[in-house]
Amino acid sequence: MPLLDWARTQWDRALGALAVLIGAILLLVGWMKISDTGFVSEQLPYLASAGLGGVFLLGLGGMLWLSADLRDQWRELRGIRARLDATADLAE
Amino acid sequence: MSSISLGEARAGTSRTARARRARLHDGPEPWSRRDAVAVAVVLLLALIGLVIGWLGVSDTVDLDSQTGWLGFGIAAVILGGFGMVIWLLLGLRRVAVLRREVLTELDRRHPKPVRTPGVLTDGQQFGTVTGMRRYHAAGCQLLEDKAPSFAAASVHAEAGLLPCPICTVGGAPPPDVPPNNTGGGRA
Ligand SMILES: [Zn+2]
Repeated sequence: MPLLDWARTQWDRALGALAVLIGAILLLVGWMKISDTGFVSEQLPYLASAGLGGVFLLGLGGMLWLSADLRDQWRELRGIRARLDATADLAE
Repeated sequence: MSSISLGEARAGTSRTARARRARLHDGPEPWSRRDAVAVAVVLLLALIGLVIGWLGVSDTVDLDSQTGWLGFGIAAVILGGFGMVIWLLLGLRRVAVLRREVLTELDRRHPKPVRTPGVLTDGQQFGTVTGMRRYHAAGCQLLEDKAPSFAAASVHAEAGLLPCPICTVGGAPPPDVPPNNTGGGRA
């Protein structure tokens, strides 16, 4: 399955996407639950769980995705540096 | 968390590759294990704070204490956000240091070929040293401290030499010279 292969090799991006998805669902569910009741004392628990949890997961997902980009850049730059160190071969 | 500073990175040009490598860790990703553990602890604390805030809000119907617990949860989210930002800034910084290192090294080893207009009029001359497999532009780092013999690119090509992949790209003749004019064309 191509999606599973992608998730295995790009685990950081897969986790990030999953966190954003769950965060968005949490925010949506929290919003619906809060709309269901007019009592502030019943609304606040949803704000504290689904609301704050959703925000946290959105941030976490963004962090994981950007981390993946930084990992890729790091890997590429290290490759270039290794090739630079081997430039001496050209002087043969 | 990090001991890398901009000044250190700039001073790195004059040091050996080994010394540079010692300062910038050589791991498979920008973050060391210690960074990962520290940020994971901060994120875990934030998560625990979120759960505590949620339980606190759910445990009472008193609005004042509910908003107090909600504030606790918001503080936990801010702590988590702080951890995420530190993580990303640390990664960005390490990648930037490595990028500058690579670019500095590239610039030092392959400076722009120095071209003199007099040489260019009758086809650019490329240098090589006996035993070399490649020919180079006059300014190439690989000809430094050597006594190269200069000739047109076609002469070197006929002798079975290859163009240096780095310096000869920038050392091609100016566009106003027709390609099949003299032996100075791009090889
Ligand atoms: Zn060269």
